Amino acid sequence: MEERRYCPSCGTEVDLERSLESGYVFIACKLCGLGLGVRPSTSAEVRELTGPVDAGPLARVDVVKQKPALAAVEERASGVRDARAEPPAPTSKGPASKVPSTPPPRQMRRVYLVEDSAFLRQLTRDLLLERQLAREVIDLPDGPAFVEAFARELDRNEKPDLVVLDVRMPGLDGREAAYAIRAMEAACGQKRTPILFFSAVLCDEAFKVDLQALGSARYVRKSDTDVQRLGERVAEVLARLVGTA
Amino acid sequence: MNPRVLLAGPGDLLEAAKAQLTHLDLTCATDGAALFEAFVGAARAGQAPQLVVVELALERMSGMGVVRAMRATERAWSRRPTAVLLYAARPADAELKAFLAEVGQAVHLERPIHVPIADQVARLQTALDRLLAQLKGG
Repeated sequence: MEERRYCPSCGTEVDLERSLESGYVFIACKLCGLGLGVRPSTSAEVRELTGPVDAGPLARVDVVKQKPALAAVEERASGVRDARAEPPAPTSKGPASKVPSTPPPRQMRRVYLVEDSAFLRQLTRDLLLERQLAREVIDLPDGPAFVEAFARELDRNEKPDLVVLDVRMPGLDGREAAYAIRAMEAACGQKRTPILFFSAVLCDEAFKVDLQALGSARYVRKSDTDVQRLGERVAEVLARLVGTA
Repeated sequence: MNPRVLLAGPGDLLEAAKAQLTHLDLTCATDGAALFEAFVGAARAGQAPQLVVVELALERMSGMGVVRAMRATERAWSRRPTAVLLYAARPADAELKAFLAEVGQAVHLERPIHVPIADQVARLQTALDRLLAQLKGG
């Protein structure tokens, strides 16, 4: 039996494009111009993508005749949604053994560290703990994971004492992630969390404008100079930012 | 009650949308961060929008950034994904298609920037009315 696919908006028959490399199916309507992307959630669905056009998951677009388009897509993507429903646990936490016995006054309690490079994450985490700039470091590998963790804390009326953000990250870069948490703080009537951008990106004029707009935000450039000097610089900026000295 | 819709895009589009889309409870934002703040505020107040319409090229947070941040907060607060319409001047290229599949509950409609703004809003209205009707039906 010939299978037909229909536009979720206007109901006309649609073209369908498969991208095996990126693993998505894209439905494009020539009449109303609507485009809808679907990512298969199981390996079986990915295998089906290699099948004939009139078989496999493509037929499921027929569902839009009976169900709302977006709901139907959500149903197909339920595997992905379930996975996302799991709280994305931070990748690691600072070991208790590194907590100094006599912490300096006004030491940062909890610091979020958002950095997509595992190596630099570890390096920065060690720096913060060893210099007693943080008692607990919560590593997060990207912007969306950070925004999710921050939102979860806001829901519990909690917040980190400091956020250390890389700028260049896939998905949601550090600048956007910073604006996202400022937006959440404003919407929830919360004070601004100090942000330290720790990045290889040059602090150009546009970035200075962002720092000004974000408020309570500073920048330290990552460099390949010795870690000792880098640590001193981070400590100095943190002292100005949150008064850790 | 009119459907609640959040819209972020260029100023002329927002002005025309406010004038033409009077059947909607429309909240407009001029940049991505303002849109995300409106979204979070509405969600926290139990007034989540039925649909978010967003251009891709926005100040402070890009349209993609806003949608990814929305999805992150929805996961954090165990909310269902809000439907998103990317009404963008940019055509659906490979990156955009993969993005739509990644975030889910999102559709793209190319904004015909060469036509008068009133016609751009009319095209948006047609898509909005259909999508909102389907969302309501679901």
